[in-house]
Amino acid sequence: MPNPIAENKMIDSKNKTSFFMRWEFILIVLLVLILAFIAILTPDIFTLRNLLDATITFTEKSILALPMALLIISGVIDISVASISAMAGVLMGVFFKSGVDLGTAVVLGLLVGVAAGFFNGVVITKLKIPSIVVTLATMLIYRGVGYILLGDNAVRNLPESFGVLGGAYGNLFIPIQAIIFFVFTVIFGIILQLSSFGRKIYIIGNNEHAALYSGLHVDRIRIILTTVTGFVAALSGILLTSRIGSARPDIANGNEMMVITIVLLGGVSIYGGKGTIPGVFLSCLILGYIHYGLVLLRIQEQVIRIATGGLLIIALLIPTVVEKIRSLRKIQYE
Amino acid sequence: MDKKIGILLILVLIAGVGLLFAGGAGEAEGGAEAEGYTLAWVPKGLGHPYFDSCYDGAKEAAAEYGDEIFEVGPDDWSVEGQISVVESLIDQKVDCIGIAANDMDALAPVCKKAMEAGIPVVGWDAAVAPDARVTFVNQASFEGLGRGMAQAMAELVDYEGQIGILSATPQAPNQRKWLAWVKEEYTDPKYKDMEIVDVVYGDDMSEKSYDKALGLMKAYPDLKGILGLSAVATPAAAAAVTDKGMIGKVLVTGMGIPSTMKNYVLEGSCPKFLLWNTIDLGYVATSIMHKVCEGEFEGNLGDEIKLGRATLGEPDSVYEVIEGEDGDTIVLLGPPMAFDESNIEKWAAIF
Repeated sequence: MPNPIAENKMIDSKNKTSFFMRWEFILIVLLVLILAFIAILTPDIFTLRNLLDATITFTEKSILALPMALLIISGVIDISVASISAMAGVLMGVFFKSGVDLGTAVVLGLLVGVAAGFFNGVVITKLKIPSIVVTLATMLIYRGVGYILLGDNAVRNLPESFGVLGGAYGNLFIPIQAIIFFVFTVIFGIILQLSSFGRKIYIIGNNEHAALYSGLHVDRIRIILTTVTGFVAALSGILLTSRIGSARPDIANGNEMMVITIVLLGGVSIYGGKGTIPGVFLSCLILGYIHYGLVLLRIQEQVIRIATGGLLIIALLIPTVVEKIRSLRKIQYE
Repeated sequence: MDKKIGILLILVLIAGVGLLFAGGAGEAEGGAEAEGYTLAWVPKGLGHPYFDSCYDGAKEAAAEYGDEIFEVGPDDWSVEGQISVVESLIDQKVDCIGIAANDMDALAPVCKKAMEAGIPVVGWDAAVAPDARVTFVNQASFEGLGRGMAQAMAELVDYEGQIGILSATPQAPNQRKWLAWVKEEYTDPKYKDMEIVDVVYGDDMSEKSYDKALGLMKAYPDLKGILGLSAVATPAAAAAVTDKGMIGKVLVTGMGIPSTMKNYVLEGSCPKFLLWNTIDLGYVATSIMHKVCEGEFEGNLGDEIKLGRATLGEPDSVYEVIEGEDGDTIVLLGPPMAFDESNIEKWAAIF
C-alpha cells in the first residue's frame, strides 16, 4: 500500500500534465515575454544594472510571498503581514530612539514579528477561528500599535549605514535585498519541495482531517508557519524602513493584498494543497517587472493596478476553466 | 480539446500583457521627440486641482524653453509610492526632477541618489532635506502665510471666540511651520480673547478633512471659526459648514484654490482666503529646473535668475536665492495673495 507521506504523486496531478502545460512553464514564458517587451520598448534602460536596481522595489513584498505561499498551501491565510511589517519598523525605530543601539533594535523588531506571528498561529489553531477572521483583527491591532507609539510622527534620521541594508548594494554586485530574496527562495524551496516537513504542509492543505488522523501535528505545523511568516514580515518592514530612512507607522499599506496576489499568480491554490516555490519565485519577478516596465512607459499607477487585477483574474480563470471542461468530459464518457 | 482551450486561454493572457505594453509604448514614443531637456514633475499625488494648476505653470515654462516635461506621482499620495516614482525616474535618466515631497526626510535618500546619479533635484511646494536638492522654491515665507492666515481668521471672528485648525499631514514641513507661525501670531495680546481649541489632521484628503471638520463642530458647539491649512482642508471645512447650515455662525478661512472656493466665498461660508499664484509657482520652479540643466544656476546664496515673464511676486522677473527660515537656501515666490468677493470670479476662471 502506498505511503501517503512519501508519495507526492497521489496529491499532485503532475504525472498527467506534460512539462509544457505546467503552470510554472507558462510563468517562465510570461517572464521572458515581459523582459522582451521592456527590452524592445525601452532599449536604453534595459541594462543588467537597472534590472537589478528594479528588484529593490519589489523584494520587500517578494520575500513575504515565500512563507505566505507555505501558509496558504497549508490551508491558512494571514492578512496581518503588512501590519506586522509596519509594527516591527516602528518598534525598531522607537527602541533606537530611546538609546538602544541599532543592531539590537533590529533584533528586537524581528522578535516583535515572531511574537506577532506566533500569536496569530495560536489563536487560529487553539481557538479554532478561521484564519482570515483572526488575521483581520490582528491586522487592525498591529497597525494600531504603530500609530499609538508614534502617533502622526516618525523617527527620523536613522543612520546612513542602516540605509544600505534596504536600498543599496553594499560592496556587492547585486543589491543586498535581492540577495536576501534569492537566499530565502532557495531555503523555502528546499523546505517545501524537498523535505518531509514540506510534504506534510501539502497533506494538511489537501485534507486536514486525514492529516490529523494520520498523526500529523497540524496545529504545531501551522503555528510554526505563522511564526515564520511573522518573522519575515518584520524583516520586510525593517528593510522598508531602512530604505526610507525613517520609521513610520504608515508604511507597507496594502502589502498583504499584493503578496497574496503574487502567491496566487504563482500557482498556489487558494483552497490549499497546491503550489510550488519556483512558481511563486517566478510570479514575484513577473509582477515586479510588469510594474517596473509599466512605470517606465509612464502609465499611471491606477491603470497598473487594474492591469495587475486583470492579469490575476485571467490567470486564475485558466486552471478553473480547464478543470471544469475536464470534469464535464469525464461525465460525458461515463 | 481541453488542452486546446487551455492553450487558447494562455495565449489570451499573453496577448493581454502584450497589448498593455504596446499601449504604453505609444505614449512614451510620442514624447521622446522633443529636443531640449527631459524634466520630470513630481507632485505629492495626482488628480487634485491645486497640483494640476502648478503643472500648468510648469508646462508653460517648459514650452518656453523647448523642454519636454511630464508629470508622475503616487496615486495614493504615499511616501512609499513617491519614492518608487523617483527610483524609476533615476532609471529613466531624466535630466531634472522637480518634486513636492510627501515627507522631507523620507524622500531625502532617494533624492540624494538622484543627485549622485547626475540628476539635479529642485524642490517646490513641500521641501525635501537641504542636502538632497539644488534649491527649494518656496511659495510664500512660512511667516508671511502663517501670520496672514491667523490675521484673516481673527478679522472674521472679530478677535474673540474658539477656533479650530484643520491641517493636512502632520509630517509635511510646510504644515508644521505654518501651524507654528499661526500660534506665534496669536501670542500677541490683541488676540487674547481667542482660543485655539484643537488641531485636527485630514491628511490632505477631501473626505477625511470634511469628516474632521464636522467632528470639530460637533465637539465644540461654541466654535466660531475653522482655519484650513491647505488647499484641500479649507474647501472641505467650508463644505462642512455649509452642509451643517452653520454659515455665519462658523467662519472658515485659510488657504484655498479660487476655482474650488468660489461658491463658498459667494455663499458666505468662507468670505476670504489666502493663497499664492500656483501657476507662477510651477512656472518659476520649472524655469529654475531648466537653468540648472543648462548649468547656469547652482542654488548658492545670492545667485540670481531671470525668468521669461514677470510674476506676482517679482514684477521685474528676477529672483534671488535667499536664506530661508531654516537657514537653508530658498527662492521665495512672493507675498501671499488674498481672495474674496471682489476678485474671486476673475481668479476662479484662471485656476
